[in-house]
Amino acid sequence: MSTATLILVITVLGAGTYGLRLSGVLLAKRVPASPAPSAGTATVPTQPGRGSQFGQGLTRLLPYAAVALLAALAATAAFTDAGRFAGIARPAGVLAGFVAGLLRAPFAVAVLLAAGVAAALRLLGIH
Amino acid sequence: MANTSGRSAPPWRTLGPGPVRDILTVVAATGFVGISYGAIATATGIPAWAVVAFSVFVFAGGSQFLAVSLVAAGSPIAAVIGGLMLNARHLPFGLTISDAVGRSWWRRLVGSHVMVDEAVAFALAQPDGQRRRAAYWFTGIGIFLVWQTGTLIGVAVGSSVSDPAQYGLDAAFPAALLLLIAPRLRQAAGLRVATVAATVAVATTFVLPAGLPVMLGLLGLAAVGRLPAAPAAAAEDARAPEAVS
Repeated sequence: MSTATLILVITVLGAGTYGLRLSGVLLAKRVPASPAPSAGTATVPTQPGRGSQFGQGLTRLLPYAAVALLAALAATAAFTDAGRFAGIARPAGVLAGFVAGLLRAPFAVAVLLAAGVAAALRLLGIH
Repeated sequence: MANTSGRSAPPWRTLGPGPVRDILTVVAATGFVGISYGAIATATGIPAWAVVAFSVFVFAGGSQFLAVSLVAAGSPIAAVIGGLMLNARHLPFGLTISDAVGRSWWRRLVGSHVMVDEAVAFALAQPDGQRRRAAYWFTGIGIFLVWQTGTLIGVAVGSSVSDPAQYGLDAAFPAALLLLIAPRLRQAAGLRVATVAATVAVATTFVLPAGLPVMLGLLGLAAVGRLPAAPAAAAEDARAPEAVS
């Protein structure tokens, strides 16, 4: 691989990735109300003038879009590796950490438990 | 600098000790992934300057692993296309958390570059706008710093720490993502969306190129159910903080 090719790959991938990130942030301005994912105290009220039904629907849908993407990312990262099954140890570790979290274990403990269970299973020869 | 609200409180004070500890845990774990990236990429024979340049200019772990392995295999075009498909999820991410990135131009320009999964997830888990901003910037900048440091260490140690699976670090990332969206999984609509998204993504991973399955997870939105009319929706918004806590 020549140096020029390598520079081209890094430039195009870097600029493209940055473009994807920035365009989402810039396009969001065209949605009438602030997405306000958790609908907390700082929710910006929908402006009646610009708040078309489409805009309102999109605003309400966006937090779920992030949940859908993160769930899809977590599931594929837990179960698969380069288009194949990741084996048993990794999803077992993820499950252990998730259940610990649901049982109110501190976040750090739950994440470390996930890593620990996966590592321990592999040590036992279960991959 | 990380605080984007225009007030002087640093993000760790805005967020409080609990979220700060959670964020630092994930930042530290990401540092180890950065070390393994640097070591693996170096082991494929890619020059050190390129390994580091990927981390600085692309700054998206999954696509970096994919790109260096495809470049090493002699497929630079596949490396670009595959990496961009894997990173396509950042566009809807940006739509969702633009309020956490900020409104001024420099915040959008800089904040977009530190948009990583963990920053989006931590921002989403916060109850109000000010804390979302603090969580987004604290996580994004923290991960940027440890990712660069980790890459340098990884390049230095070469192939000696090339297997993150040995320490179960590959299980830490999906577990952290799941725990961060857990409050939304307690709501029926959130659970339906996540279940469909996860099922579609995993099922299609075996036949589609990297990145597309995660984008197809957006099909989970079909399971959100009928969007409530405006008055009912306002009432739901008012209740949401309890449901999220």
